[in-house]
Amino acid sequence: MSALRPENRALFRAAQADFEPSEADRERVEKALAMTLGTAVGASAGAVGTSAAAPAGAAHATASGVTAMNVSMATVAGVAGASAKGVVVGVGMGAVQWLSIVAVVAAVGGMGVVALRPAPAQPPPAVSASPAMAPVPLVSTHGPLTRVVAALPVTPAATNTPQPAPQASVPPAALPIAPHAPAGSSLPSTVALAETRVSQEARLLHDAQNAIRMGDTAMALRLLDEHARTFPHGVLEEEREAERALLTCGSGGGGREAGERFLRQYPDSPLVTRVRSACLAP
Amino acid sequence: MIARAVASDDTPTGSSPAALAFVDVYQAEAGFVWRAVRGLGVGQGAIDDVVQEVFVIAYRRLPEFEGRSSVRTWLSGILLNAVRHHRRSLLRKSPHETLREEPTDVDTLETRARGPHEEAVAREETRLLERVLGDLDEAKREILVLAELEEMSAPEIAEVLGLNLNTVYSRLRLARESFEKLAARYRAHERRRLG
Repeated sequence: MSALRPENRALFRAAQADFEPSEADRERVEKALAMTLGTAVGASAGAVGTSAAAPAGAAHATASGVTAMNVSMATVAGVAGASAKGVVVGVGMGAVQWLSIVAVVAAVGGMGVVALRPAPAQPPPAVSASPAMAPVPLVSTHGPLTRVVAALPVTPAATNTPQPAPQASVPPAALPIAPHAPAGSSLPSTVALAETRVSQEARLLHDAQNAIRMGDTAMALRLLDEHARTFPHGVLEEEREAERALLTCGSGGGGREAGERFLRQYPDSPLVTRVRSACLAP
Repeated sequence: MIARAVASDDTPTGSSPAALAFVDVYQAEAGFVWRAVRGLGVGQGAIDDVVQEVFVIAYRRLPEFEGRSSVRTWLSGILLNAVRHHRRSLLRKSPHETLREEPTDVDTLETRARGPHEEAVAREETRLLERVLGDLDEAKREILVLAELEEMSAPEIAEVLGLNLNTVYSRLRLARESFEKLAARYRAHERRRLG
């Protein structure tokens, strides 16, 4: 295998350093992932994951707080005429780090925006000082954050909830997925972080899985259909179709066929094994 | 899902693939993913989104990861797909434009621990690299990023791209030749420009 000339190899060596994410880059992505997945991924998250039951140890491990998950999340949803109302939810990450979610429902002319703003490290709220009252560790729960976001009233401008027929043919790229704060927004100091396409996709599938767990097959199918309409070729397309096949297999009728269709359509999918064993096992 | 991945073992570094915790995968591979996404030419405005996509998919698929390959090769497959997907969606959005994205402005990147001269040279080199990689076709760009930027071995690349080893060697040779030609052309152009 012939190698590159030294001066060109050097280009790649230089880029290895230049292409590294900065601290700020990492922090941004970690916060976004924490919102999307409802799980902490920062440097201290591993420590929390393994020592959630031992607050003292976790406190020690996370004291450095490099990726302090102190996030103030202000969600402004347009609810015409509603008066501002604040909800504060504290989610524990060990005994030191806290994720405080401030969900504000305010009347702002029909526009929705999810803002994410790093907050200075804060001491844990008094209510949680005792380990006995320690809130749910973020790592082992499923998406307290996403659930808060999902539970908020949202306006058509802020959601991707597809309007039935007329919208069906709009390609995903054309959908208003990145709502911006209107000029003169009441939160001028917050950095608007629009809910990304992938987090909307993940939320739909996540909700569908919840519905499956609750035994609400009809609701799950509706959510999968919604995903299919809104993101026909989304990054989670394969996951959606696998979920659909598994759902059909679980509920009896047409399972084998659904499984075969999935295997034909996505022969290289990592989900093939799961679908095959659920749908095509003799 | 993370609970499923973590709960099966108390030690996140356990040897069983089932014990792989998402946070460990993220911590170990975030730099790798970020570098590759940049090397593959995703523009500054979209890097966050694409990196996030990669990890959202990885998170969802982690329970299916069977440990037949290394985490890194597994993640590379997800990553290449996410970048291709991103480029296709750009194309759908503006089919008449070329796919060349706004390159990352290296001037705005934070200064690393280097002197001003080294900094300027490194910046020039990164710019040249981005230009050359951007002008190659997707397949060549991908194989060079895996081999030269991420220093993956040929068998690893074969696994990521689903090719046999000989094909990897011959494609790599062709990609390197194209890279050398373009880089030489840009360097000559630059020398003429500077007189």
